[in-house]
Amino acid sequence: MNNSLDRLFSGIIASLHSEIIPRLDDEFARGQAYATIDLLNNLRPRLDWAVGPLAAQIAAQLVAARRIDELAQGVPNGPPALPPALAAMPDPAAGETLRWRRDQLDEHLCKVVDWQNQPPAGVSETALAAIAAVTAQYMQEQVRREVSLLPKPLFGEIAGNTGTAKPAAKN
Amino acid sequence: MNPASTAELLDETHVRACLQRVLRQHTGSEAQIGALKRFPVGYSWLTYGFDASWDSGSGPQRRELILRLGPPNGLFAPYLAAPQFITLQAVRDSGVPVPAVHWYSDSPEAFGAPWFICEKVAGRAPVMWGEQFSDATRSALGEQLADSLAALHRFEWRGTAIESMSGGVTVENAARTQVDYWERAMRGWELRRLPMAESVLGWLRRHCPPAPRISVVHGDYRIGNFLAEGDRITAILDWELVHLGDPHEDIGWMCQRTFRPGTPLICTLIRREDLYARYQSLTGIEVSPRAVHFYEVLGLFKFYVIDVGAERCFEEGRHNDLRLPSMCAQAPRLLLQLEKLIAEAP
Repeated sequence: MNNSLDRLFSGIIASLHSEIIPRLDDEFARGQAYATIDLLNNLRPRLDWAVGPLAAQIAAQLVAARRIDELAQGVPNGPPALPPALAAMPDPAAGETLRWRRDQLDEHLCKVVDWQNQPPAGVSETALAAIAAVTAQYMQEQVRREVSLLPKPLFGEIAGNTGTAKPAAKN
Repeated sequence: MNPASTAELLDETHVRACLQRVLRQHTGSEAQIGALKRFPVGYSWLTYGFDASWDSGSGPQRRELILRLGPPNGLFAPYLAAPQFITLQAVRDSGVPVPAVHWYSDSPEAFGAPWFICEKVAGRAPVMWGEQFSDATRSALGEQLADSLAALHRFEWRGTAIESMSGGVTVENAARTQVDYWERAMRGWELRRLPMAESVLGWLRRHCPPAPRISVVHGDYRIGNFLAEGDRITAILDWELVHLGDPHEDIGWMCQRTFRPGTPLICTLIRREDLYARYQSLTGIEVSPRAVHFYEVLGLFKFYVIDVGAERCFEEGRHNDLRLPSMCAQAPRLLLQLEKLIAEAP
């Protein structure tokens, strides 16, 4: 796929909004469609192309290019050589690896909060307060960072209140 | 019958065939069942409306009925119909407007899922977004919302079938029982632990208030969960979280900001001080702002735990309902709100 991810997301969302939802008569289906928009808006700032297939592709390109370089040794007016800047495999900072590390560190900090919630006898108030201040700051920053990635929720639309006078019938 | 999948419970042919058998069993005759209408609400129990007619010893019967099904792979599965059914039956003439209930079972035999059938009640469910109430309607609905809650909390459940749901709850342990319940739910569902959630849990454990009495607690008492026709509330719905506990729990829940977007009016209907005053005069229970605040925090924490449950449910592929991941994506916003709400303690 050669389109940018951002354009793909905005195109899918626009199509759902202007082409699909107006033609859906079923309230449940409309809720699902709005939830899809909501999810796409949530995914948009978080997603990048998957590292795995790209790394495999790059590895294959490097194998070919290096082999070509070998074969081109001594060939007058041979094919262009692999530029040195492209010759190394980029650092594969896979998203999953980072998520795993993040979760491990959060679990560690949860254990610190567990300790704060039930401090062992003999822990000084001063030490407890100092550590609690650090975890509080971390927690505040963590949720604010997460919230900064969130689009405005579409709960009203998902629940069926789309401003189109469709009553929410239930019993 | 084996437990049914959600797909089977959404298959009208399957549901209709099961309904036919259930009605035959309970009415003793072959029922005519009209079109099934599935109501697109809720994340757990499925709701169908239908007309049914049959012959009984007292002559032909025709009813507008509601079937509710608790899918075995739903968000909060496994479900039980008994607590809802028992409660609705017990409080029927207590001043709480509820639909008449007919039949239920927690066995998978009939539908492959717990179920109950009740009367369809006239009205529509006002929601917290975009309603254009007149002042008179808003006031009337707000007062009835307070009155119905007062009637529920006044209800003397001892000596009724509801007593079987007590589970040892006391005025001393009611709050702690709920904190423990929701912590267990979170532990069972969480895909990972978050420090802010643990911190909130610690605050809840340290601030459990004693209850003024033990009442029937609806558990999800709010706008969106009642039917109204004009200025009149015709039924309080969605009793799936009903239990015995501190009456402040329902007050704290209905006072959630989520249920009053952009307005200080509780459930977009009634001023907090008017709710408290009316409720106090009807129940004799003195509303404790500290207890209400505790249950507002617990309520917001429940929203977080429900998000955690939705995340687990979707991750395991038990549901493909896209509203689940859409909802749980907002969990960090709830944690931020919890932090602010705790800071507002009276």
